[in-house]
Amino acid sequence: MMKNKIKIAVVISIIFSVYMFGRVKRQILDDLNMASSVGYDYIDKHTIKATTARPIFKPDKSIGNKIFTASDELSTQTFSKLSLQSSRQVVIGKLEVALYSKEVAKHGIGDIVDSLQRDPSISERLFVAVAEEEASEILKKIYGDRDTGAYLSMLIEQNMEAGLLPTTNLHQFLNAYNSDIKDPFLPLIEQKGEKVHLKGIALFKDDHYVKSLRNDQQFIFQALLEKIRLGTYKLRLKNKEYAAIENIKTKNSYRVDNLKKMPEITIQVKVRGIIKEYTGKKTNKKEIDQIKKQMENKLEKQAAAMIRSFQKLKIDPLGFGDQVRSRTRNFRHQKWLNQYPDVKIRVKVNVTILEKGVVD
Amino acid sequence: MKTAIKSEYLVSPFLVLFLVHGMQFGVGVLSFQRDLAKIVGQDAWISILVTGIIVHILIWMMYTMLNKDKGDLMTIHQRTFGKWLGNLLSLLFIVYVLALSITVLRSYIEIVQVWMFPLLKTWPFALVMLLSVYYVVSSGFRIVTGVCFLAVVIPLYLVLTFFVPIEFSNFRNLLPIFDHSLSEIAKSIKGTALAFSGFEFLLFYYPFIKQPESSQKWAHFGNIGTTSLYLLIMIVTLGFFDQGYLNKVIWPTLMMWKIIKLPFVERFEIIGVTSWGVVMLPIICLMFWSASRGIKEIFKLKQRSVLVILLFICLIVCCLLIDRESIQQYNTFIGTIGFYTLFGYIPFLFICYHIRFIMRGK
Repeated sequence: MMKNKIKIAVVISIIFSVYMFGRVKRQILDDLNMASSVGYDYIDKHTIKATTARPIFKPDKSIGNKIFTASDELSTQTFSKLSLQSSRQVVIGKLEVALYSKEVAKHGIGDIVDSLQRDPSISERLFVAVAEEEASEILKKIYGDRDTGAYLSMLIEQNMEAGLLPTTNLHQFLNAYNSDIKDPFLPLIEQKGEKVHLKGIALFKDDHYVKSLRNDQQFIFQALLEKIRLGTYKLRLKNKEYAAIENIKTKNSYRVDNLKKMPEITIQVKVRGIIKEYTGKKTNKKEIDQIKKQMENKLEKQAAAMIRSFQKLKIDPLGFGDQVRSRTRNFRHQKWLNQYPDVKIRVKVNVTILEKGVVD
Repeated sequence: MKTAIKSEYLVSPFLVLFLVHGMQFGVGVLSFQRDLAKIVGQDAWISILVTGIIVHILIWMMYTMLNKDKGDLMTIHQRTFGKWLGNLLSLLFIVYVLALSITVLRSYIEIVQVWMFPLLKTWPFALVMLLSVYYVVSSGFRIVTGVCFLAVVIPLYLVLTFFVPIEFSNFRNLLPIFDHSLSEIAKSIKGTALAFSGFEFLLFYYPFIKQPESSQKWAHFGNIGTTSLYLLIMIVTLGFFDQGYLNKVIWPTLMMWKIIKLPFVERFEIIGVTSWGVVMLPIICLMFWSASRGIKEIFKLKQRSVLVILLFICLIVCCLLIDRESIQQYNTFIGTIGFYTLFGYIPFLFICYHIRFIMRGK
């Protein structure tokens, strides 16, 4: 039949034309330069330097790093410049860590972050961190038996799981960054000799780095921010003895009073932990009471000082604004932002020592 | 009177569940959250509930008309407004259906282009999609229903993926509840129209249901399924995104999939987008089936040749929409028209039909 022949011809021509024109470029895994980490450094007001590290798997099963560096005004443009140096196409879909040097962070990372939130191939679980010095210096070295990207991401992830670092990833950073009332924070990484370590938390105002928290302030920061499931805390007692509290579980509850005029925030933090080490002689009831009291005192003091410094800098990484917003009808952002430095914020800590190990 | 459709072409009443739910749960799911949250913020889930209830009323209205008429949209129109005006209105409705199918197809292709293959051309993809649509639709309504059934059952596992983002969610974002006025909630319903549309095709396939009166409960069940799924997705979205961030994100559902990490797949959204191809196909199929069936009824033409022409028009318009802005504009335009068609025209038709019915009774 004539009609059937036409039909078959149409179908064949469609399939043929689709096969001819509907193809996209093939990307073969072995022929790609998959960057596992990227670092940004400051050059001048308009230019940034991007450094990427990609793992190289050597024949003797050891893993090396290949470093590429390029600078440009736009962060995506740096990647095409990196391609100019590479024998393979540079792709960023496997990126695990993005580092910003402190210098870049001070000048604002809004423009660079835009490329991360716009690119669909970037994972929302990407770890973003601030480097104390040059980000390229951190990426250039090899730590442990992994490539730098994997090592840094494992470093951050491991500490998050151990409760030493608040949960942070690209998604949470972008949430706070795009919010009108919250401010983001990122882990701060420092290189010391042949090692890298987490130095603390870098606090931002909008997209500018303003302040960092030391390791010893991190515990109360985290306790105010989220539930800690597994934390540790070192306490220095007044009698010059030390106590290590481990397996800490915390819970925080916020109460906001006087919403109409000037909000007053009261935060109740419950800390439950086990004594793992104590340099004193005995751990009887009296001693434990001492530890409990002094720990409560110390945490409350730390919290008060920390929150005061936040208010002075007008930053809100802990989301006090969100607590007020979620309790206020017809919340006005501007009014809250004006009020924020003068808002009364009280922290009450309640420590319970559950166990003290197998000896008294 | 119309000749009755042979019983071998009919489908069981319970399949209406899949026809209604499968048609509603389409491309709108990937992006409906933002339009809602822009107007009502954290109260967006209330709008979903309200729209769900309104859609139930609309389904009831359609069934009352159809049960009395024992026909479809074309016969209802003819009986209410006379032959000429009735046919004209049917034709306008068909144009709307066609425009809707273009929205669905182009939006999906755009998602593939943005999320997976930036270099993919529009027309080859549309051509392949429409070729399979032709294959399905030309085999008849029973096959279309079968594809609809599969499109609901196969991607069912995707429901589980909406629980993963809860790990990173903060449900304090949902408070305070009822912070927006009723008028704002009413305004936001306009944004849900595109996500909830799909049940109106009952007006076309009603004569193809065995004991059609008994299928009403299945249509309602279908809508309950859609509403509860939307509710789940909306609540998770509101917890997962801060309001400021949500206003920026074009496809919040795909963004939520980005957080899922499986040992064997780095990016889940690739699987999600691919699965969505299965979800899209029956929607486009049923739309073209309805449009070609309508034109066949009005002009007494052969359904297959009508179908080819419609597919061709769709292909051309799809290729003309090149960039994000024009697609966005087109979708908003169709969304507005869809809103007025569903929430304005169907109740209007309901009233007119009953006035006519009473008048004829006298």
